Amino acid sequence: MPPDPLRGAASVVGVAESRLGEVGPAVAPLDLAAEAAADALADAGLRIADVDGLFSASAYYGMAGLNLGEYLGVRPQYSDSTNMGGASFVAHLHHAAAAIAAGRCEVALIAYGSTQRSDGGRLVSLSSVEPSPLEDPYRPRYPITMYALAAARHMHDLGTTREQLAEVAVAARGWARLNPAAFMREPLTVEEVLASRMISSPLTVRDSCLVTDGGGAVVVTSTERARTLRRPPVALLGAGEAHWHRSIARMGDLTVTAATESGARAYAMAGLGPGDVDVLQLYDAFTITPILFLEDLGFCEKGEGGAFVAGGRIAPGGELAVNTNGGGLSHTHPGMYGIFTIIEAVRQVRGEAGERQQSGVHVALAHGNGGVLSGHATAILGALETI
Amino acid sequence: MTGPDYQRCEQCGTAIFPRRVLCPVCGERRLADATSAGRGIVYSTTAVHAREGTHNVALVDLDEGFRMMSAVAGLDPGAVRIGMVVQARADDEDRLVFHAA
Ligand SMILES: [Zn+2]
Repeated sequence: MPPDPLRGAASVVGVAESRLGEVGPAVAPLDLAAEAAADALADAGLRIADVDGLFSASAYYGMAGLNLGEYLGVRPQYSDSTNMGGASFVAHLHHAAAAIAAGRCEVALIAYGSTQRSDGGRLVSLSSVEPSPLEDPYRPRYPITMYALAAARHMHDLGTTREQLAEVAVAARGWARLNPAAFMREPLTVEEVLASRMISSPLTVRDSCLVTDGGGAVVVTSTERARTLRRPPVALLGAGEAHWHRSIARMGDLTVTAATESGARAYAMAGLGPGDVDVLQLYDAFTITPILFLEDLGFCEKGEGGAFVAGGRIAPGGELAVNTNGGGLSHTHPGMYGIFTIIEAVRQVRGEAGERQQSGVHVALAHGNGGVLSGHATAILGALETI
Repeated sequence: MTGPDYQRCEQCGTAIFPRRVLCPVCGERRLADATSAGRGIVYSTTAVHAREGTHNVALVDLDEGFRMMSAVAGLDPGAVRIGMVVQARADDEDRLVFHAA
């Protein structure tokens, strides 16, 4: 097969996180998106006036790109507010690269912000305004109950244990302890996860992502232009998307996600496989999700994910570096975490991740998940020499 | 007959739930109305710990070939098991819930 023309055509040239954690009631979600956007453009050595492609998604703004464009004063010639939940921004990266390669825009800004913690400390999701007459009478707690159903079936079919789930939270905390920006940095043990408050069995509060405020932004342009900018370009080598369902009752086999397809598409475009990936950023909404994605993205066989994460194997010093920023479990989770998987992947490829930096990172994988294991987008990013 | 209503595709035979205007497998628009006998098997289960108490949420595979979210009643919410054979019944909130068969 000839190489995919999109492979390496576009590169990430700027990334930033906004203020994270709890910003207080005077700050709006758009303030955080704009803060991150300005910092990511400064990182790239570009100005807001250079942006002609705008990509955003939000649980607050149904027409997210319109709100963000107005706020920033950007009048884009290419605009994309695709909403796949937390998978949106990895999908936007794919879309931005395609738009840039097609000449529809030159400098793409992907940005997101949320103040769900300051707003009341509950996960803000579109589903809170999207009634579900088939589910609401049974009072599931959205979205944790849906992930709990997947975890329960994974345990039943494949022998995964609560201790193995807890290992994912403990590994994330280990990484967060190396990240000064992380929200939760106190030590955490498997025993503490198991003893923490049960929310929807088998998932406890410590098996669950944080509820924080926060924003992030990513700037993308052609790799040709990227070579002239101030930071080392991080090329998009591969990208893929997939979704098979929206509601958990329509998922089919709850132990296999559409990451199998999004990942296969990203690998095919990149001409790479799991063995080529040096560091992974997997959307960890709940402790079951990195286990599913390690299996579905080919890092182990189906059913081996629990054993794969046990014994600190994905923690600092382990065999495979997963979620090196501390993830949604311990770093930040403003509701749609996917953009932070890109930001951390880029930082690892650039070699600027401080104490948590892995040595010799050439290729990083970012995987976004949205809805209830519904939307999937996978990106493979690499240093210039990998193109 | 105490189960939920569903549809059966007249082209490929797929059981369709919830109601729609075409078959998601083959696109056929001729769908026959049907009512399930309400017998099924628990596909997955969770006990939801809420402020007002703990309740069960389950996914049930109906014998006719479709899945629905529901709850298994009459048991400790955490004692419901995957693979359990269950039967639908309306509860006093007029919800369709399941009991061990
Ligand atoms: Zn059909």
